[in-house]
Amino acid sequence: MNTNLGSIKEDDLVVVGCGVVGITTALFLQERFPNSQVKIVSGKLSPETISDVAAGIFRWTMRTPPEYESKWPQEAWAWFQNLYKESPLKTGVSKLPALFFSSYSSEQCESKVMKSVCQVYRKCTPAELNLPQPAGKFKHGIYLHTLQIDTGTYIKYLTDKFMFRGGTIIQAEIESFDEIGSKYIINCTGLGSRKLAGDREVLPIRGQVLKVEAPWIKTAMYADDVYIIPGQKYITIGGTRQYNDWHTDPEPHDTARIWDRACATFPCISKAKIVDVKVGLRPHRRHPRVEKEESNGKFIFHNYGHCSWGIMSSPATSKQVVDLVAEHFNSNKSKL
Amino acid sequence: RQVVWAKKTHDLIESWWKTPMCGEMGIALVSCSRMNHSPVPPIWKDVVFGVREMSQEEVAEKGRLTGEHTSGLEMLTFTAEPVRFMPFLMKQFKDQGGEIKRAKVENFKDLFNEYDCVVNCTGVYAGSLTLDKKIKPLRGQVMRVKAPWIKTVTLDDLDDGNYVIANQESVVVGGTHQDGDWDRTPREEDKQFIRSGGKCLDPSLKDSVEVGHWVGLRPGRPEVRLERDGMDKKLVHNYGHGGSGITVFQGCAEECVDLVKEVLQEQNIAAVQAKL
Repeated sequence: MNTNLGSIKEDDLVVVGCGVVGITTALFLQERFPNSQVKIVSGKLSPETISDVAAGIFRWTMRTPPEYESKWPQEAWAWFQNLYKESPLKTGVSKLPALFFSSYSSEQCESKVMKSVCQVYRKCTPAELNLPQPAGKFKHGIYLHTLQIDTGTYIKYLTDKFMFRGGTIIQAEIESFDEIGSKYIINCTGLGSRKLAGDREVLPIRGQVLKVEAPWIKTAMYADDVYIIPGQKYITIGGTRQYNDWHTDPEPHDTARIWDRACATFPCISKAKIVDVKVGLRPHRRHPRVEKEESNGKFIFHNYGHCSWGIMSSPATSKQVVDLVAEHFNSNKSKL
Repeated sequence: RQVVWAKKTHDLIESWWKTPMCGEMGIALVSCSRMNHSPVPPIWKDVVFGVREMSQEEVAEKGRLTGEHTSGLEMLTFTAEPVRFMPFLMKQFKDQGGEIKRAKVENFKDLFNEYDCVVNCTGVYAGSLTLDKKIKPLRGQVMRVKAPWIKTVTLDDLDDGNYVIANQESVVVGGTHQDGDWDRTPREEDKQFIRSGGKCLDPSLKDSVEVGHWVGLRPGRPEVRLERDGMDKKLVHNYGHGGSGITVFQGCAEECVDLVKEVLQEQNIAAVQAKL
C-alpha cells in the first residue's frame, strides 16, 4: 500500500478522501483531464469507509441547492441506470421496488424528485397500507421502483477503473491540506472537512444498521424509522439518526431497538440471520458543498457534506466539482 | 368463481407473509409485471395489490423473441414456493391427526369400502383413474439461474411467451407449454428458447449463472374439475388446475371441503358436526 505523500507533484490533481464521493470524483477527473496525474490521498479505504455501511438505496430526499434541483437528480439517476444496463453483477446496481409507509403524514413518504425520475410512482392502496403491522397504524404510503447500489461492489468497480487508467491511491491521514504537495486539491473528506476545511457546520448523524441474510425479502420497505433494504447479498435493516453523536462502535441497545421495531412492524423479517452490525457517521450539512476556495496558495475544490445521500448523489456532485476544476483551468489558461 | 378462489388464496398467503415463518415458507412480496394480458382491467384486479397499466416506456424496456409486447400490467403480489411451504402444511396435517399412506391407487372403487369419502387430487394423472379425456399434461420446461439482482416477476401471457420469476435462492426462467407431452427430460431446443427469450425479456440475465433445467407436467384442462363424481357418491374431484395451482389452491380446497361435507351428510356421519 502506497503511503508516500512525497510522490505528489505540484501539478497533480489530488483527491482527498476515498469514500464513494472521492473515488467517483477521481475517476471523473481522469476522464476530463487525460493528460493529468490524478492521485487519491485517504486515511480510510473501502471496506472501511462510511460509504461501505450504507444500504445504497436511491431515494432523493436530499436538500439540493436550488440551482441544481433539476440537474443533479436526473444526472445521478441516468448514471446508475446506465450502470445497471452495463452489468448489475459487476457494478452492484439493481432495480428495486420499494414501499414507503408513514404513520405521521404523506409528506414523510412523498418526494417530488422521485416522482419525476421513477418510472413507477404511486400512492399505496388501502390494502397495501395494511401490510405493515399493526393494521391501521400506517395511514400513508408510496410505492415506487428505484435503484439500489451494493456499495462494496460499486466502489471496487470504480477503483478498478481508476487504477487501470493509471490512477494512484496513497493511504495516509493528514491534519491539514498543507501536507499535500500539489496546487490542486479536490476535497471529498466528508466528516473530515469539519477539521480540514474548517467547516463547523459539518456534524455527524450517527447511523447504526444490521446486515442480515433474508433472501425472501425482494422489496424495500420503510415504515417511520424502520427500513429494510435488500441488496444483492444482504438486507440492511435500520436504523438510527443520532445528531452530533461521534460514537463509532456498535451499541447493543441500538441493535435491540432496530431489531425489535423491524420485527414488530414486519414480522416477515423475524427469522433473518444477523451477519454484521455496522455504524456510519453521516457527514451532515445543510446540503453538499460544491465550490472552489483559494487558500494558502492552493486551489481547493470542495465536494463534501452529502449526509445520507453520498452514494446516490456522488455522480452528480462529482461531475459538478469537475466542471468547477475545468472552469478554473479554462479561465486561468494554466498548463495541464 | 376463479377470482373467488384466487382471492382466498392470496389472502391466505398474505397472512403467512405477516408471520415470522414467512421466509421458511417461501413467501415473498414482489412486483409482478404481466405482459400482453387481456382483458384490461383484468377480472382479478382486486385479488392482488395496486394493479396498474404499464406506461409505453415501461413496456418498451422488455423485449420478446418475436415482435414486441403491446401492453403490460404491473402489480404487487406474492410468490409462494411450494417446495418450501408444503412441508409446513404436511406437518400441520400430521399434528392435527392426519395420516399419510403411500400406495398406488389402481381404482377408486378399492377405497370406497374403507373410507367414507375419497377426494381425487391426482392432478395430471387423473385420466388413468377417471374417464376424463379432458385432462392432459401441459409440459413446462424451466431453467434456474443465480441472479441476485433480479427481485421481481415478469410474465408474458402469450402462448409463445417467456417468464422470469425471482425465487429465494435462484431465478426461474421459462418456459414451454407443450400440450399432451409427457416427457420429463429437459430438451435442448427448449433450453435455447428459454435462454434467448429470457434474455429478451430481461437483458440483465446475461450476467446470470445457470443452475439447472427441469420439466414439470402441468395438469392441463379447459377448466378445473371441482365437483362430485356423477356416478360414485363417495368421490369428490379437485384436479386440473393447469399452471395455476399455487394461485387457487386455498379457494378450491375450501369449496372442496363443502362438497365433502355434503358426501358425509348424505351418509349421516355425525362426525361432520364436530370436526368440520
